[in-house]
Amino acid sequence: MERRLYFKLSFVFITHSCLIISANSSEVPRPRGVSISRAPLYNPEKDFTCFDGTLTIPFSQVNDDYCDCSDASDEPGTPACPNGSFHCTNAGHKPLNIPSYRVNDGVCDCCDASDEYANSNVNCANNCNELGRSAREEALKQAELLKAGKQIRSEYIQRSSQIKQEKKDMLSELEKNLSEADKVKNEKQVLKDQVEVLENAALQKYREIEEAEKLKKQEAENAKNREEATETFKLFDSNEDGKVDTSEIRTRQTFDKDRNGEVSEEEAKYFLNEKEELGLEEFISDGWSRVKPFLMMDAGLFKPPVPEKEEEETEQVEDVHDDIEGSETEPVEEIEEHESVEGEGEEIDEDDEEEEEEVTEEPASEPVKYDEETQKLIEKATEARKEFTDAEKEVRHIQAEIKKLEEYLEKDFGPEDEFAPLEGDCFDYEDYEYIYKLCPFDKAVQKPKSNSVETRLGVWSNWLGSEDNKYSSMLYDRGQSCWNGPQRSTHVRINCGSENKLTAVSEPNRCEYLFDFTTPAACKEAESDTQEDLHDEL
Amino acid sequence: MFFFSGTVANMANLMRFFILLLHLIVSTIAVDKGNFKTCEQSSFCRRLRKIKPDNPKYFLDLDSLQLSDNSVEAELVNTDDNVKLKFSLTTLADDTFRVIIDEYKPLHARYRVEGALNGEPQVAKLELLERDRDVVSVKLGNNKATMTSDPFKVEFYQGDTLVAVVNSRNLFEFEHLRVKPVIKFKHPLEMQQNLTATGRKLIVIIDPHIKREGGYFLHEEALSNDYYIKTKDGNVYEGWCWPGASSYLDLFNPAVTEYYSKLYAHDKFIGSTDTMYIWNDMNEPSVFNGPEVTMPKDCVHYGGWEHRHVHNIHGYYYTKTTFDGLLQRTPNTRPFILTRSFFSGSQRHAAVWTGDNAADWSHLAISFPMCLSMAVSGFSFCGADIGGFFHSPDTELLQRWYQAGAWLPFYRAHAHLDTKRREPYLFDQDVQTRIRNALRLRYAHLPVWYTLFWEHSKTAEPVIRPLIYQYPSDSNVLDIDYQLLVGSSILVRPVVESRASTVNVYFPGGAQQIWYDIEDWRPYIGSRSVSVPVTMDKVPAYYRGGSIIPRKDRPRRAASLMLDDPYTLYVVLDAENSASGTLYTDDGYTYGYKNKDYLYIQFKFKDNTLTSSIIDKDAQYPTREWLERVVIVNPPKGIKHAEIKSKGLGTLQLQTSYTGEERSLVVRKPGVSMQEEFIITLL
Repeated sequence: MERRLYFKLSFVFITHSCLIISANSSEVPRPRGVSISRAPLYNPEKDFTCFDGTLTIPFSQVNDDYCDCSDASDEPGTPACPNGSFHCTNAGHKPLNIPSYRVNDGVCDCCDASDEYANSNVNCANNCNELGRSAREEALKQAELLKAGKQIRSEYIQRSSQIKQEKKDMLSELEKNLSEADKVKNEKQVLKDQVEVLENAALQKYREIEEAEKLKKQEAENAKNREEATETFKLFDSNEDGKVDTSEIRTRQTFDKDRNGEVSEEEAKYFLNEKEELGLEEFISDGWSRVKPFLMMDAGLFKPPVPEKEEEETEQVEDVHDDIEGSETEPVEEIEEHESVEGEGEEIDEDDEEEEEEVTEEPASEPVKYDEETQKLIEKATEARKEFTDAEKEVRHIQAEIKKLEEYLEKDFGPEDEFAPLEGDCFDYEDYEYIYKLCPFDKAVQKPKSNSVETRLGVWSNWLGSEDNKYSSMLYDRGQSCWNGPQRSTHVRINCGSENKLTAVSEPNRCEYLFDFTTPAACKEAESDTQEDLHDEL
Repeated sequence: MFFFSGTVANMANLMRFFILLLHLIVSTIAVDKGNFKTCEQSSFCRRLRKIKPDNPKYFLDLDSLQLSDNSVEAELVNTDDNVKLKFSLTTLADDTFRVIIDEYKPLHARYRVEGALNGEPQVAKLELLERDRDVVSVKLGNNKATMTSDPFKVEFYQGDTLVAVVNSRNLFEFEHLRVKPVIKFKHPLEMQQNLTATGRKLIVIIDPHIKREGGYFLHEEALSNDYYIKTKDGNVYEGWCWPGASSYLDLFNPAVTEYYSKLYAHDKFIGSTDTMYIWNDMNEPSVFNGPEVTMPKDCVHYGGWEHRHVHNIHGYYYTKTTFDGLLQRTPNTRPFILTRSFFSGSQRHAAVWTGDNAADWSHLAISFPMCLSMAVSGFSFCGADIGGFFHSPDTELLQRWYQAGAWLPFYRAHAHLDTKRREPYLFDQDVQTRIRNALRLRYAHLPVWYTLFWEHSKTAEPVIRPLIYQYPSDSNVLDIDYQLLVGSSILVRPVVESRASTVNVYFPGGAQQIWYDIEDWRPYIGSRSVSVPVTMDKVPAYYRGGSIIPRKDRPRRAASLMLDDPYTLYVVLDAENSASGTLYTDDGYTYGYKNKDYLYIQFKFKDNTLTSSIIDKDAQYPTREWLERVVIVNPPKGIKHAEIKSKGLGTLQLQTSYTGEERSLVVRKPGVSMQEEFIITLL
């Protein structure tokens, strides 16, 4: 298949050179706007029949600037038919077919100026030779690029199979390590459980003491509450009849809930649990809980939140965040990666959790004094716990590594894995304001030049090309959301080039980015076909 | 706080009260983060978050150190962007140090607090303790300051005790003032050259608000010449619009309009060209923070007029000034101006569009009554944004809009920046084809529009007309505002309904009047309502029996490239087998017509003979246009050929052929120049 394509290409090349020669030496007689290959269809000796067979006209009506044929075949050299096509020979360069509405419209479309023949005011110069020369130079360059690109591509394929093998080896090694580590973890668990049973038994008596103390505290609290309630009751019971009634409540402005200046009967009743009056015990059980908040508010104990306090709190969180990041032993790069995937907000939350865990691990504020034997047990148990946690960590670490490798091996790096060597690299493109970065199979980001804050334009999703050309386009989606807009996403068009390079970036729709990326990995035979098409546009 | 303000004391309120109270207590602990921008959404916060202590980026260049009796000065360099800051440490009375860091040459000066101090502090003499490549130390009484070069740090000691440090954790950050890079449309002349090379023209937007910015020549000249509109207290009025704080030129002052119109000269309007025209938007004037989004009614104009008295004509003066400016800039060339605000008389200067509509079927539908109302009020050059300005139309609405809008005088696709792109080439082939067909039909009829506008300028007859205008005695047309007539010859019923399979069309003019579908020449008898089937390709449009429609059926990339193209005359015969029509043509852009450089032609068909005669005999224009084809609709039967007679051609035989079930007859290539009178006889 590939070989045949190549053959066809060289054939095309030969016909082109023939054409140039013949155009230079002898013109084949033919109507204006007709290519050499179609010249035999126009015979001046005979009447002309439209290509679609619908009409036969005298040959004098061919190119007479009147459209007779609905298929436009009688007017190859004039703009008379709306759907026609005009052929410029463009000797010295490539021939070109233009829509016939571009003929005689005052705009020079053919480099040989053949499309503007009617109006002497329009001066089109023939610049086919210059254009042809630079086009041929360009084509030569392209061919060399393609050749070099293909060379690199085959190296990529080799390299990626190596990388893949290495990763597979690593994976099986890690799987071995995992079962090893699992075993260790289980052993440590057994040890830990054993010593914890002993520790628990020893601590039991201390717990009982603690429990008792707690109960005592609770009782004291209750008593205090009761005392307060009783005092209030006495205060309220101004006629000292052993009951608090609505009239006594109504004298107190504190209970003017709707702030209309007086305490109504209903308002008063509310504080007496919807009754007219309450005795002491009833007051303590039913009334006090309603009365207390109002007394507290009156005393200024409830206040709307003070803004500064808020700020302090958030600031604390930030400090914690900073500290943790500073003390993190993992390489910085990984943190960034993590951030850019999860989003900053979430990260703070995670850090908070970590912080809390650490706090709970620390001993309680007032350390209890244990006897020597218990102390020893606790230390032993702590040691066992630590060993178990370490073992557990090791297992998790290996699992994470395995997952990473598996994800890598599942990624689609192209039919021959030729794109695999791009993974792990990033490529920059600078425009006036931003630096854009493409990290293939990972993410696309935008970074303003004035600072180093990255905006995520998308994370690797999948290949997006059409069925027959799947590997011509990539999608990175789930980027950061735009303010009042959609999540950012990025399409990457892949083209053959001798080096890996981000060549252009645009934003055709709001928050939808388009990258152009060249790479040798995309240099295949098929590329030369599009090269031909490009040429036609010139 | 608001829970104290209740007035009704019932249980429900009490309950709410407690819930609120609870809420408050809870909310002091957990604030709803959703109410605030996240750090991600604030660039300032994002930048600061990224500052990390492990990335020191400032160093004090001690080679640049300048020592005086009471100060140390040196360059503080940001190694990231190489910006140099001026670091100075001054020794003051009472053994105090003062550190100031600022840019050497900021874009504009930073405000420095003065009022808070009781005069400038007194300086005191310092003593140099130590100076080497990395550290400088100075002493003042019992106190000491040590400046470290890299990373930048300043430590203050009282005796031997470290009491304060500047930049101890490398979190110091100084953002120097920067200008946003101006990068858009960097090469306006080349850009316009690219456009005009294929016959297109650039129209740029110019609004009346003037940005209040020091150094902006227009603002400064307006201030110094006292050209701005005033508040009721006599101060320059300041409003808020696109550029931010803005003021507005007082166009009621002749000196101001003269000044302003001269700003369109190429040496003032840098990057402009003779083919660049103007869109005047926001010229009501629009003021974001004003009452009813315009200027306060008590603002004062030239002559002491309050804005309330002249508001409605403000837009007129604005476009008139633009018109004068363009005419001065490029003499003898008709200006093109699009405006949003207009008044009686604006029709002499500008086209108008119906403002910021939305991608909605109802907005498509309403654009016809809107433009018809304006047309009968004297302003014919009207249209609506194709596709709708706000929001994104689906492909059906977009296609219908291109098809319908082609029959309004002003035809422009436009969209808000935040909408999805909708250029025709972005769609499937069939959508592209329909839009292309709509555009081609529009361009084919440009001679009709051009002729109608000429007649409009002479007789004030509207270019587009509601049916009632042409058929005032037909009570059936009284409330028809969803159909329109282009001139008197073309009847259009735009499809403005989603998924329409039929539309009702009312054919006016009585039973003697026949209308012909412009695609298949099917006849429809007048004074009847007909349910006409439509597809996505079909927009009901009809030529009136008895009319002659001049068209240019060769498609081109731009109207300007059609100038020399030949005409096809559509001769639509009435019941008496006769028809008539007119054609106006000239060079398309100059005022030559005022010197009789034009052709105004009458076509008449009667007794199987089509004649052309020049109406304004004293007007002549050497046009390259010629007659390519005559299409007779509802033709006489049995025609074998035709004959043309003219001075230049003499007498020539012409081929004819019937098409489409003999509903039309084509006369092949008369080939006569339009400036020649001719007679074509069907034989």
